[in-house]
Amino acid sequence: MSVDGPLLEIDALRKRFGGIVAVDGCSFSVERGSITGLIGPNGSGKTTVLNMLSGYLASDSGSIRFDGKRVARPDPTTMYRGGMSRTFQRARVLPEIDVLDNLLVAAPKRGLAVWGMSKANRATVDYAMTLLDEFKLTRLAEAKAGELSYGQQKLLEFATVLMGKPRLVLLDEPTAGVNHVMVDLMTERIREFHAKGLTFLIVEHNMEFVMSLCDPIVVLDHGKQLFAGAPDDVQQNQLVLDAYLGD
Amino acid sequence: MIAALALFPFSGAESWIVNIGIFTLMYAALGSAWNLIGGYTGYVSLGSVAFFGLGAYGLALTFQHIGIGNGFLPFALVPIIGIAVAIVSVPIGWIAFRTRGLPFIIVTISLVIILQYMALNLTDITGGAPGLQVPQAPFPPGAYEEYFYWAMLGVFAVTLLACAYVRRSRLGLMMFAVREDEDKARGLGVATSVPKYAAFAGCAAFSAMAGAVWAYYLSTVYPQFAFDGEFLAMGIILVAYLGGIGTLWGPFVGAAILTPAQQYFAYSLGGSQLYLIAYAAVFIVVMLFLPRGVVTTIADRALRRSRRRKQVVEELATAESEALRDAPAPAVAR
Repeated sequence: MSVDGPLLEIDALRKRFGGIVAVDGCSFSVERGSITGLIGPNGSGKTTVLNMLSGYLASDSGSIRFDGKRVARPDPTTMYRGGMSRTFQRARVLPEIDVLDNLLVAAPKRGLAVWGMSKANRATVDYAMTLLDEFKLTRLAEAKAGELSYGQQKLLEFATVLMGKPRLVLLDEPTAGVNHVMVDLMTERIREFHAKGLTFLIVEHNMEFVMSLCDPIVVLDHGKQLFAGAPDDVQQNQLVLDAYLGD
Repeated sequence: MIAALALFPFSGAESWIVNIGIFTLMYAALGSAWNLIGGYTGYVSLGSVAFFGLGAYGLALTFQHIGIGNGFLPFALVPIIGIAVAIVSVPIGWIAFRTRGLPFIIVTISLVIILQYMALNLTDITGGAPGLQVPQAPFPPGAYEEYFYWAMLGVFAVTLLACAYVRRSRLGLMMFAVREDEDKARGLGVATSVPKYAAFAGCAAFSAMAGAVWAYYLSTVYPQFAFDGEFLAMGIILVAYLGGIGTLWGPFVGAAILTPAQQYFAYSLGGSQLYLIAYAAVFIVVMLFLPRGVVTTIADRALRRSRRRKQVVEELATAESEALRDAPAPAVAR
């Protein structure tokens, strides 16, 4: 395992849908231990980049390097097991099974362990309960995930991807449609796991949230990197202002 | 429950009632086996009948080519046929799992039709339309029904046991994840092909076992009944829906309602096709009043009642902390 260099490096990533080039030679990197923000106007290709990184969408060309190794064909299962997990813009939980089971299913297990008699071992259940406690969901452990409020589902989805003890978490608009109490809770948890060494790449429209949390911030426009830098620089950059406000 | 079912023939029931019992258990076993793929894994398969027919033909062909006697020995063959059909189902699954949702339903019903045509036309092997004869079991007339009742109960019990295992195990959790959101499950590191193939092969194995017992009971197998793409294929799914998809006892409850009803209508309405209409009416009535199935609806009501009781206690306990946490909503301009 290489310790130097960025945790995630994408180079000249391209994706076109019919006549529309959604991502057009996009390159940027995510440094180890950073909370990198990924912003840009609607349609700038942020979610498409995330989909390609997490293996939900095949790129047309370009390369992805995770932890120094090139990932030739990303696939959601192998990316998750390799230490990169993601959440979705519209929270995706498993609605008809209970909250605790939502976490247990995300615990990495393979081979014969799959055929065991129980859903998870003691340590896994304990870890899941710890996470539920941190996300203030303990009371709802036995409720069906679909019964949770939208904000709670977002928190649950975030908690779920932490079950795999990832090194990089991609959050797709974690605050969209979530009330301020839960945004604060989300922010707290991100800072806490960041302090423990977890790296984040966060796509977000809530500027207050991004500016207070992320550094550096990568700005996309028309499918490629427009600018990257510290929050203050991003706010003062003329190109970024033009992209957002229109020129 | 299983023990009570096992004692049923001793209640002095007449053989025609035990006969209905056999068919009830057969539908319960087939419905529970279907639950593995359709209820727990969310892949609505109409292919159960194909495996049921393969099991029936498997037993008949064994009789034809290997003399296995006609006492209890054929019952010992039933699990072996189950395993063999499960193995056969894997390459079929490989094709079927290239689809999801509606196309999957069509692929699986096609399988039944293909096998029915094969059974009709490969006359050298299957005997064509008249089918194959299976030597009648030499059980005493008074107890003939009962032995088959217990054999079918055995198949049902094993199927139920498999379902119970699934419901509390890691494998079952993976099946549920596939049912809820297969793509999301992949993103959580779930190797989705494991639960899918396990459910498909499990359904095949248990359906084939029911088919083998059924073939020995009727001592004949022919294409229209073994690969019945209409009546039996519908019946399997109806019992699951009636009882409650994805519940442990749902298929049994559904079978216990539907099979006697179907037999009753067939007797009382005679040879006309009217009994099919009455059969459909039962289904419509249940769907109107218990749209999620009998077991699911009752369980939901019980849960809601217990929750309401719990809620009152909890509300008192947490009223204060909730007020503290939720009430002061500072106005934040965004």
